[in-house]
Amino acid sequence: MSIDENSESEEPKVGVYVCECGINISAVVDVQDVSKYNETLQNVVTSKVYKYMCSDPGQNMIKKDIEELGLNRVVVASCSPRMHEPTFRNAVADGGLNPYLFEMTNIREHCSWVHKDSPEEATEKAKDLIRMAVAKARLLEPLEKSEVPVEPTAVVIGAGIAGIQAALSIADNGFKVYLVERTPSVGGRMSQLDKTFPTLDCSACILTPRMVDVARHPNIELLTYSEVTEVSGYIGNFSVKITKKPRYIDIEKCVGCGLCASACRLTGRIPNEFNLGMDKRAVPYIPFPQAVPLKFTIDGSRCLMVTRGKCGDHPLCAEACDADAIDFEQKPEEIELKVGTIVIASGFDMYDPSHKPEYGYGKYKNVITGLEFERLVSSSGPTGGHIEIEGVEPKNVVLIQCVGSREREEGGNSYCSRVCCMYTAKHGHLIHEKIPDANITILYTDVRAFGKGFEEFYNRVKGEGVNYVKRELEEPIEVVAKNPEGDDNLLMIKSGDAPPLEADMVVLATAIVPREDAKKKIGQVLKISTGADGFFLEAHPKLRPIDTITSGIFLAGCGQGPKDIPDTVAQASGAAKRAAIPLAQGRVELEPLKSFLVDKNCDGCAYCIDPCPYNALTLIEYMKKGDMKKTVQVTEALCQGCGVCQATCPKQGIVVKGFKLAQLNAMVDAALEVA
Amino acid sequence: MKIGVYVCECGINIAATVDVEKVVEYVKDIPKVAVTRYYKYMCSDPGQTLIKKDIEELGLDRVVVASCSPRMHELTFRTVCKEAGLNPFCFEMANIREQCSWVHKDKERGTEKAISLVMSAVARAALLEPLQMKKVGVVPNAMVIGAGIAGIQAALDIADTGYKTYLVERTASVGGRMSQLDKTFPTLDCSACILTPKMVDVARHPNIELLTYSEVENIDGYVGNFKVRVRKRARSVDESKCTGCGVCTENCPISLQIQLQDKPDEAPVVRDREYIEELIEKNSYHEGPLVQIMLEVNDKYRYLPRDVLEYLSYKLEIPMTTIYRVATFYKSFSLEKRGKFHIKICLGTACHVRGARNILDRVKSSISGAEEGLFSIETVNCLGACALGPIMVINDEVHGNVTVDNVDKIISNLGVNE
Repeated sequence: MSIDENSESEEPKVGVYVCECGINISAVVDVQDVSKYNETLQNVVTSKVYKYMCSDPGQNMIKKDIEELGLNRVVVASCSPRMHEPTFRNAVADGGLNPYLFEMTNIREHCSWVHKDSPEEATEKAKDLIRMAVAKARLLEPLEKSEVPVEPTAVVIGAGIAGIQAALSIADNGFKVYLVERTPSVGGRMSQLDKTFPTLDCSACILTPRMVDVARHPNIELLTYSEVTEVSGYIGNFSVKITKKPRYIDIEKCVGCGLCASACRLTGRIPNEFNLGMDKRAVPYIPFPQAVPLKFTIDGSRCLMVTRGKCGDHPLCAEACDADAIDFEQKPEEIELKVGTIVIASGFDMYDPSHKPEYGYGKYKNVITGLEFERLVSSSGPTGGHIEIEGVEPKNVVLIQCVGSREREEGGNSYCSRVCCMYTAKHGHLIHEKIPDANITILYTDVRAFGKGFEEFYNRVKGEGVNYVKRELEEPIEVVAKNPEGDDNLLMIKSGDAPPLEADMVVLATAIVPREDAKKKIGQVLKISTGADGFFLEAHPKLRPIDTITSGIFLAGCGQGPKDIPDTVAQASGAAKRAAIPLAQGRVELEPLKSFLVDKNCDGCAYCIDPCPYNALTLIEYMKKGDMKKTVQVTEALCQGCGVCQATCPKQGIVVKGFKLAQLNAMVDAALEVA
Repeated sequence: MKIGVYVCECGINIAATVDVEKVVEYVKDIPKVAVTRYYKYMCSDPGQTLIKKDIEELGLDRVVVASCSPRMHELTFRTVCKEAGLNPFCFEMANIREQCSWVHKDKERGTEKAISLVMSAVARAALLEPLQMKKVGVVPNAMVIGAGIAGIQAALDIADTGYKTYLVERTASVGGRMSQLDKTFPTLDCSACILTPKMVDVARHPNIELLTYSEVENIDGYVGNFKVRVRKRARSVDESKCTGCGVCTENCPISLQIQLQDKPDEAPVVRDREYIEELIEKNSYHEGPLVQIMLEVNDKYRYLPRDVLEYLSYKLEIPMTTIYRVATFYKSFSLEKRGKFHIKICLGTACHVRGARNILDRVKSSISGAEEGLFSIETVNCLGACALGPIMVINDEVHGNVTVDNVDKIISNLGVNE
């Protein structure tokens, strides 16, 4: 009993109540015999049997006995605590006793239901279970629930369609939302797409209104060109540090007219990342015409004023700007936000096919990725929507699926990216629409047309004359020049024993991969784990697919795994709802069954810290009688009371309230009858 | 009637393609137009003040702004009108940016089109009537129809937000299709084990009122004010009294008999017949020890061979379905032959977060060259020793704190060649 510091001096007076549960229990377990046995146990003042302990008369029996017999511990032997522990805790509290001076033992699921053929043994087992519960009950201590207030504000990280949807939903619920975006505009990957499968809606047409809504929503504060650098705290009380990167343009003054970009000395010389480098922009830029906010950003890594402190005699952009918005003195700005919940919608990267030289990407200019094709076919893209490479329209297009997905080799992306089958079908359709006489071949491994309207779309595209040719995943593909010496740009695609295909354009359906910085940066800052595939891990793959293991942090979009736009929007709406629940409740109630530090035993060895799955423990140092002492601090809001720390600690320096070692030992002793 | 017309230059966004001065000049002579102005940014504070001042000083009763898309700034200008004391619906917007300057390059024709757009806006403005926004109250209750996993989750989330929720289910219990499933892909969690707690939560939630065995018959009304008629069908059992004991089922004369499969005439052929007979004998031909017999069989053959199971079915008169139910429920049983060294790797939460996946990969590569039948790998979800994680159990020996670097050593210490 070395750790039982607060044990009650008052002599325990235990009341035991055995439930018949109709005949669920009593048909197997001899409840009268059990009750008689209970009275022989140490400290048991009364033992009663009732048909339904959970019913009102049953509960009243407990209340009355607490008052009349002065019980200070209550044991109910009935069903699973999952079912009725809260019921009986309430009854005990109504009787004027601390609700944690109650212990429940399960003689239904754990006894009568599973031993219906052996009533005698079942009766003995019920006695064992009750003896154990009484042993623990003697050592129970009163505990109090605590509450922490919730900051009624959320932060959404990433402003692609997932982040936009999540921010709008939370804001519509009436809570303030900070929407943080790394790039100068909201919109994300969806803004780069031309049309969306399978309905062929124009991506920008359905996205842009939402972008404008975000900018205009009175509850949303947009923080573009900003990055989250540090997150601390816990549900209801997160502290989020954000760095606003310098735009070198005062966005209060900028009107988005673009005079600065036209005036810039480097106009047409900086690769335009929005079009994946297929055209050039100036140093001051907006990523795309519908950008929100419609404010220019001076690319600090390229600007001569920023990198060299000098741009000709004077910077032409500043001269051109009527609004006097250019400000080369801007510095990164740190801000700190207090928020109650966090939604991570940090998005994904596209697989870089230059890792696989056999596809010829980077070697042949007419081998492009699916996303590059999106920009090429988009009327706002570098060619104004004409499918052409260096002015030449292709007539033989081969689209190769599963590039970087479903990889069989070690360390490869073993998963299916879910969207490539359909976006490739869409590309086939768009090529057919724009170049009706083109030969279009799709090299597929399996066509996975699982979504609403997908199979129909796939059949439609096949019906348009797009050739589907199967290849085996195991068979390597090789893209080579047909005439290595010539300048005709013709390519040959070889795969296994099949006759090689000829093409003048190859589109690679590249995989959705986790953001390069997902694990190292976002994951570390937010203390969120990633799975083997590199995507963020949900708390439970089936029933908590939006929550993370950290309470108050939720996932939306492709950061959690590849998904299409409707799934992303649905998940983001769900994440928003989940994130709004604590904000609506205004407080988080903390169960008292949590880790608790026993100061005199803890020597700060820190064994417990790494095993804690919830990051609830921190090693701290403090001065005690002039000596530096190390010890561990429990963040109660993070602790889930799982007990890993208690099991790890060799010194009984950390215990879980309600499941202290002494309490568990007493149960084991009682089970073995060695007490 | 006095109409004020305001043309925005939007920096140069509009002014570069549309001659705003010309537009203003043209419009000012239209009857009822009292004032026309152009400004660099109508949406800016000075621009807004311009409109407000004119409403107050000139007594404008209709306002037209020619600028960007109404999606962008209609709300802004309506608010301006309202603040100046004009009904916000006496405002009309013409889009001469997205629908004119941005899409046309020719300044002369762009200007003509802008004039047409502004004139039609003015014509409409003259006929605008003051309108009032109406607010309707919202009944702060929600209804979720269907109590499968989708309905359960929706009801719990709404209820957690603090609103009363009616959960209506056609059948006698919540749970839906998911309750019929055995395991769920790809994680192979037991469906009932993850669903049941949520079902209990629904029943216990103070904000959820469960209406089972009930159907929605009619829905009237509109958002915020739906009126739903639900028919609670007769259960013929008083829910508040029934305790689920099942005595009624047992006593019902029309009860369900589970059909046993036909017993084969002859004993099926089985390997090691004597040993199996002995095993059955030892366990006294009783249904109870089926698990015990299967455990011994599994130990001997390192799996449960089909012929043995068929023989057990025949001798013990237990249907194969029951035997398979037991065989697939317990992790200790395998229907496929396990290796001489059966390696269990825990991928439970605690082990997972400490890199159990990497251990699994390493073990796979480490034994990849071994002869067939020597090793088998199984992943499990908890071995009950989280503090030692990542954990690997080889046959019955537990290895804790496994790292990628010591996997090879553990495996080479097994004495594979002995």
